[in-house]
Amino acid sequence: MRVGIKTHLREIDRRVKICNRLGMHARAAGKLRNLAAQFQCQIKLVKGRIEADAKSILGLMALEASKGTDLVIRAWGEDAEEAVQALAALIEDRFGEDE
Amino acid sequence: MADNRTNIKFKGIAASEGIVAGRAYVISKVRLPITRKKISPEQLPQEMQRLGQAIRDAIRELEGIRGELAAHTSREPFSIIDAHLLLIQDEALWKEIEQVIEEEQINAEWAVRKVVDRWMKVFDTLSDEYLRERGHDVDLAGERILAKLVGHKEKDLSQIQEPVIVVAPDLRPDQTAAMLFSKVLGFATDIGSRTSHTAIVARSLEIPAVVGLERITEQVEDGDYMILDGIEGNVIINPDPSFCSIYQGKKAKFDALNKLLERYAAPPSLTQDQQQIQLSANLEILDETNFLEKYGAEGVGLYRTEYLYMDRTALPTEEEHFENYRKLAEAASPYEAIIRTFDLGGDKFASELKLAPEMNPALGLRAIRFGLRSPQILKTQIKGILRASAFGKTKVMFPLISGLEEVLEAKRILHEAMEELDRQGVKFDHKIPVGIMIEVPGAALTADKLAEQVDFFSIGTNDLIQYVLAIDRINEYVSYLYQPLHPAVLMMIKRTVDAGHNAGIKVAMCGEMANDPFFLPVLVGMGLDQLSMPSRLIPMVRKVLKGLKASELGAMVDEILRLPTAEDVKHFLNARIEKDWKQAYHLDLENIASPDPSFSCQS
Repeated sequence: MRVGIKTHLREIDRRVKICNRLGMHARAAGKLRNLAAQFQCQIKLVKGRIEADAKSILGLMALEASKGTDLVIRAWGEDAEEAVQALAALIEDRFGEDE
Repeated sequence: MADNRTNIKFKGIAASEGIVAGRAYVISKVRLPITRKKISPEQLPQEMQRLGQAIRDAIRELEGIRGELAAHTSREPFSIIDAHLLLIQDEALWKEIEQVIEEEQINAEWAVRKVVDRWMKVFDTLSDEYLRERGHDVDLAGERILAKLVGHKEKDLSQIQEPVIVVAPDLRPDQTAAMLFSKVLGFATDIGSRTSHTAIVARSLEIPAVVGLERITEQVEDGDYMILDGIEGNVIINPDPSFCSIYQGKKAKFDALNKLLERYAAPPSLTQDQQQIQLSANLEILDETNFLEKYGAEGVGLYRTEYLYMDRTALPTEEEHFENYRKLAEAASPYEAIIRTFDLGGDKFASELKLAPEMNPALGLRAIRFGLRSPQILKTQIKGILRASAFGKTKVMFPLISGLEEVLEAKRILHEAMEELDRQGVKFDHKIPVGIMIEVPGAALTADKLAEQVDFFSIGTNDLIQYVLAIDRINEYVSYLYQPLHPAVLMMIKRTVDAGHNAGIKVAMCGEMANDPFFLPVLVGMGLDQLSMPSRLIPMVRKVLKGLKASELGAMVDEILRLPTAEDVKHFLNARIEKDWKQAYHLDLENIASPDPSFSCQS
């Protein structure tokens, strides 16, 4: 379901690993989606050959990103740099969960 | 009734005691019928507007349910509501629906269904079971939007004015919660077991319920007169007068018994010769604390905490544990509440564990074994228990202990939790009593060693009997071997009680054996200090206890322990009831019974 049109703007990529115990379950996906929605740029989460719109909670859950999953956060647009940083920080902070 | 829809009988699982009769209130779970309509480009803005309004209405409705649940129920079953809210508030989902409306020039209803179906297909292919089930949430969220679009009103259970029997495939937590405040006489559901959500809630509200009826929603019509027997698990639709009067008699007897037992609804619980035995309650959910006083429960002997983990997408937080246990401790006051740490298998927890289905779940990774393997989950719960101990007498109990190492390890986690709370400056009872369940033969046989490390024992007979006799109660071919009076079981119990008393600690029993008056002389004779059971059974045990002499039962137990089979013990006890305890066991119902006028045999 790739709908993004790449603009001339630079594409930002960053690798992250899911490190919370529950992985990207519903609540975590909700947090990520809410954060992604604050940015103008298009953001994808890529797992192998599958990619999901970071602004779609269903897409995020369907990624099946359990603990230990390697993902690439990919964004393009005005605030892509900040968006990628913010999303990576959330994932690395275990979505704010205890473990 | 002229047609053949008279006396239709269903057999299900008796989930909550009691007999009621009334009109059926059927909640069917079929998807709303939706038609596909082409729209013209001019209609497009209007269609988008309809969709937006429906979504906003659905969100408002969900937020309303969430608010009501927060205000009225002690538990927080929010997770399901929250998950639906998350989905409905997803702008990406709206955009997908809008895109379908625009590209295919069709009505909003059809577009919603199409997008929902597409996502359900995606979720169907996922390998993670937890995530795969979220496909169901997508469907429910979609149905909620569709209901707004077509102006369909789901039956609002909180608005039921007439007393009715609710018939449904299954009930969602928000639906059962809505019934807390309405005139529901009973529940009958297609699916479910004694431990399913609906069954637990029905028991906690003392509403009769039969679950696992399989296809009752297909056969019952709204307004059918029906009898629901939550004692034996029967449901009869449109009973003829003769059938009806049989049940009227059964109900009268049940009511008379309850009335008689009201006389035994106050502590203390004493034998004829004034020996006191503590009769406490087993609780499944917090709402059941409402009935502690009604039956004169002397504290909570077993608070099962599994319910806190049910029907949710994320684990309960320390704060949720604390809030729940604090209310429990306050409700149990001035008596104590024994909180058992979760007795669940890994399958009930996080999806990331990916545990293979076990061949022998009863012998597998569950209860304390799972807790020690995932100490963080256990510690979160323990911290909640500790924090509650500042608000009322609280004890902590570990389930399924099989040996000393597990006790030491569990206590180590407890001490870590204490240190962490100390560092945060949080108040709790530093001397909180720590106990263990004795339900594994290995623990019963080494009870003397375990007694040195804990403050109390509680014997879980359901599991102990299964493990001692190697039988699966659920298996109908071997269930006859489930014998509480088997000499081996009695020896295990005796050994546990003696070991506890030698070490100066109290020994309780919280399995089903503790609530059957037939076994009471044996348990008193063995010296059990406390018997714990569902609250409503306490008065009956208290009544029989009153007719027994503790001083002569010790010698009787010695005699019983020499008998070779369970059958011999049974004969022995029956003979004693006939000879010495007739009065103790006699229930004088004849002078109380009167038919319930509300149970009218109409059709």
